[in-house]
Amino acid sequence: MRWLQKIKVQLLLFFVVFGPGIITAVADNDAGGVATYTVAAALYGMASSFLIIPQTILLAVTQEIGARIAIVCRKGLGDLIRERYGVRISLLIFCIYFIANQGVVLQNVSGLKASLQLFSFPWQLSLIGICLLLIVTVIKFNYKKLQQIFLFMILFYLTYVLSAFLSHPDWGEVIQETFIWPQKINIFDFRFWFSRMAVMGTTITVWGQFFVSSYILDKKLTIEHLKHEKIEVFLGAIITNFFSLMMVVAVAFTLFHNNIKVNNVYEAALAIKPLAGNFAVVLFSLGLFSASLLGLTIVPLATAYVFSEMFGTEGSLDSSFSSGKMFYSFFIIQILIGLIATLFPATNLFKLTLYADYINAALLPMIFFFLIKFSESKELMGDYVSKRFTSIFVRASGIIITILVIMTFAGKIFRLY
Amino acid sequence: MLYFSEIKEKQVITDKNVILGKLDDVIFLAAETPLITKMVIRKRDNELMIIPMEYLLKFNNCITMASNYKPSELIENELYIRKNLLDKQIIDVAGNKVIRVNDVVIQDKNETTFYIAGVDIGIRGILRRLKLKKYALPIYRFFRSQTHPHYLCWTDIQPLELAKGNVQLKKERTHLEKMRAEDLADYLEKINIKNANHIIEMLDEKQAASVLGELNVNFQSAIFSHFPPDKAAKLLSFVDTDEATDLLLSQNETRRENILLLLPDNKRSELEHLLSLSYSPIGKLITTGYLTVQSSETVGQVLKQIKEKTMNFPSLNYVYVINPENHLVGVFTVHELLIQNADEVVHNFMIQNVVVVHLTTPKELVIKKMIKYKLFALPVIDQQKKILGIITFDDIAETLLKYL
Repeated sequence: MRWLQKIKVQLLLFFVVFGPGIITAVADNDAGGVATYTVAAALYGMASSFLIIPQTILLAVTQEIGARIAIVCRKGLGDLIRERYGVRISLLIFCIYFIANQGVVLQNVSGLKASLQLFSFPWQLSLIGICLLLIVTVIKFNYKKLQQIFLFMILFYLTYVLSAFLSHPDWGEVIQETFIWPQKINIFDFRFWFSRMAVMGTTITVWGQFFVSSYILDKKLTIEHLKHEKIEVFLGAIITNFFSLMMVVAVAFTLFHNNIKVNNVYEAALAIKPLAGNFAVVLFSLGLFSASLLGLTIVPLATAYVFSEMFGTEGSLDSSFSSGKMFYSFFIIQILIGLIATLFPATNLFKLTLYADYINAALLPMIFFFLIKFSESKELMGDYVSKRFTSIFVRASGIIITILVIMTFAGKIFRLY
Repeated sequence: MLYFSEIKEKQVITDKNVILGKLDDVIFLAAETPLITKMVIRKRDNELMIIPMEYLLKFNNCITMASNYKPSELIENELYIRKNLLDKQIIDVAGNKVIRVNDVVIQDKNETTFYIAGVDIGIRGILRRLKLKKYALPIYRFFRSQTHPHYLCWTDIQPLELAKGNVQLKKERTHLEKMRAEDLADYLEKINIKNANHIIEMLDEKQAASVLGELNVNFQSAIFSHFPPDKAAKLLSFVDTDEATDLLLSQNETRRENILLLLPDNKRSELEHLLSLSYSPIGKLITTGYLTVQSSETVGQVLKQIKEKTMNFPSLNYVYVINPENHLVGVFTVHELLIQNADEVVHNFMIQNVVVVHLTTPKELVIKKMIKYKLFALPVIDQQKKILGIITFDDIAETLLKYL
C-alpha cells in the first residue's frame, strides 16, 4: 500500500503546481493561432503540422527554462533583463514587446468578433460587454479564482477534438504527412516553409516566454516544486500541440481535401458548414470564442507583468487595484486599444496583425538569447544551470529561427512570394 | 550632488596624465553612512581594477588618481553600486514591491570624500539614464505634467539587506508617498548649502516653503539669499508670517524692500507690521494668525467667521474677544465654543481674565507663562490693550529645546 500512498502524495504535489505551464502553452493557441493553423491547413493540409514533434520539444524546453529561472531566482524574465542589462535595453524591449502584444490582442479581439458573428450575435455590443466584463473580472478576482476560470476555458478546446472527428479524417494520411514526410505537397516550395514558420510563430511566442515566468512567480512556487512544475510544463506543451494538431485535422480533411482556399477563420467556418455539418461549425465557433477570450486575457496580462517587473511597480493578480495601479492600467489599455481598433470598420485588421507577427518573430531570437544567458549563468542558477541538451537544442533552434526570420523579412521586402 | 549615471564612464587618469581607463562601478560601505571607498576602473583591455578612494586627487571632468596607486580588493561590508543597488527592486517592510532604483544620488562632503545620499526613483532618473532629460522635460512642461524629482533617503533603506540583493525600506510603502517637510529639512541640514539649494530649487514653491520653514535660521537665510526677489516673494506667501519675518530680517534692507514690493498688498502690510515689531526680543516670534470677534456676537456667527477667515492659519486654539474700541477683553478656546448652543452670546462664556504679554516681555517669561497657565498661545498687546499678534507654543518650543 506504500506505493499507493506515494502516488497520492505525488499527485497532490502535482496539483499544487498545476496551472502555469498548461495555461501559458494552451493560450499560445489563441485566436491568432487558430487563424494561422486554419489558413495554413487549408493551403497545405496535414503537412502544415509537419515537424510538430520538434516544435513540441522546443516549446517544452523554452517554457521549462522560463519556469526554472522563475522558481530558482524568484525573479521574472523582465526582472532579470532590467537588473542585468539596465534601463535602456529594458525600455527598448518593453516598447517592442508592447507593440507586438498589442497586435496579438488585436488578433484576439477580432477572433472574438468572428465567433460572435458566426453565432450571429450583435457583435459590437457583445464585444464591448465582454471586454468590460473581462476587465472587471481580472481586477476583482484573485490569482486562485482566475486560474480556475482559465483552466475551465481550456476545456473548450476539446471542441476542436470533436470537430476533428466530425471531419472523418484518414489517420494514415495524418501520420504520413505530419510525422513521416509530406507527400501531398511540394515540400521544397519556399511558400510552404514561410507558412510553416508562421504556424510555429503562433505557438512559440515572445509573450509566452515572459508570461510563464511571471505567472509562476505570482503563484509563489518554491524550489521544491521545481520537479513537478517541469512535468506540468511538458504536459502543457504536449496538450497544446495536440489541440493544434486536431485543429489542423479538422480543416485539412474538409477545406484542403476539397481544395477550398480561405483568408480567415470566419470564411473557413462558413466553408466547413456544407462539408461537415452545422454542428461542426458550432463546435468550431465555440472553440474560437474560448481561444480568443483566453488570449485576450493572458496576453495583456503578460504585458502588464513585464512592465511591473521591469519598472518595479507592484504587479500581482492578488493585488488590489489601488496598489497595482500601473499593472492593471497596462492590462486595461491593451484591451481598450484592441477593442476600439476593432470597432472602427476602417482598420485593416489583417494587415495590422501580420505586422505584429513579424515583430513577434523578430523579438523571439532576442528572448532566446536572454533565456540562454540567464539559464546558463552559474551565478544566477547555481546548481540548476541548463543541462547540455537544453543548451544545445535552444541554441540550434535560436539560430534556425533567426535565419528563418531574416529570410521571411527578405521575402517580404523583395516580394519573393 | 552627483548622479551615478553621470559619473559612470568618466575617464580616469593619473596625475602624470596616464590614462587608466573608464569608471565602471563604485564600491561603498553598506552601513548607516554609506561612504564610497573604492572605484572600479575598466581598463582598455576590458579588465577591471579596483582603486581605493585614498588615491583620488581630483574629481571634475575626469577623475585624477595619484600615480602611486595600489589596486585593492572588495572587502567585507562593501558593495557595488551597479551590481547591488542600481536597477534593483525596492520593497517595503511588508515585502510589497515599490519601484526600482533608477539612479543613485552621490553626495560630496569635500573634494575627495563622497557618500551615497539616496536613490532616485522618479521618472527623471530614467530620463537621465536614457540621456533624454534635455528633450523630455520641455514636453512634460508643455503638458503641465509633474516630474518632481523623487528620492529616497539612504536613512530609509536597510543597508544590511542590500547584500542579500534586496533594497528593503524601513517603512511601509503607503508612508512613503510624500517625504515630510520636517524630515527633508533635517536631511538638508546635514548636507552643504550648495546641495541643499540644488534640492530646494527642484521642489515646487509650496513644498520648498514648508521645507524652508523647518530649517534652522542660518540655513534658511543662506538658502533664501540665493533666490531671485520674485521667487523669494512667492515663497514668502506660502510660509507662516512669523517665519516670513525671520526670513526677511535675515536679508539686507534693500533686498528686503525689493521683496516686499513684489508681495500682494495685504500680505505686505501684515509683514511690515510684524517687521516693525521685530526690534524687541519676542517681536520676531509674533504671528498674525489669530482671530478676533466682538463680545456681542453669537456662537453661530463666530463659527461662520472661523470658516471664512482662518482657512490659511497653521492652527487655531483660541478666539480673542475685543470691544468696539479694539481692546482685548476676553478669550475662549475652540473647545469651549463648540460645546455652546448656536445662539449663545460670546460675552456669556468668554474668560475675561486674559493672560497677556507685551513686546518688552523677555522670552523666558513668555515660556514660563505658557507653561504655568497651560496655554498654547499668548496674545501680545500694546499699551492701549490692542492685540499686536500672538505667540504660539511651536514658535517658543525651539527656544525651549536649547535649554534641554
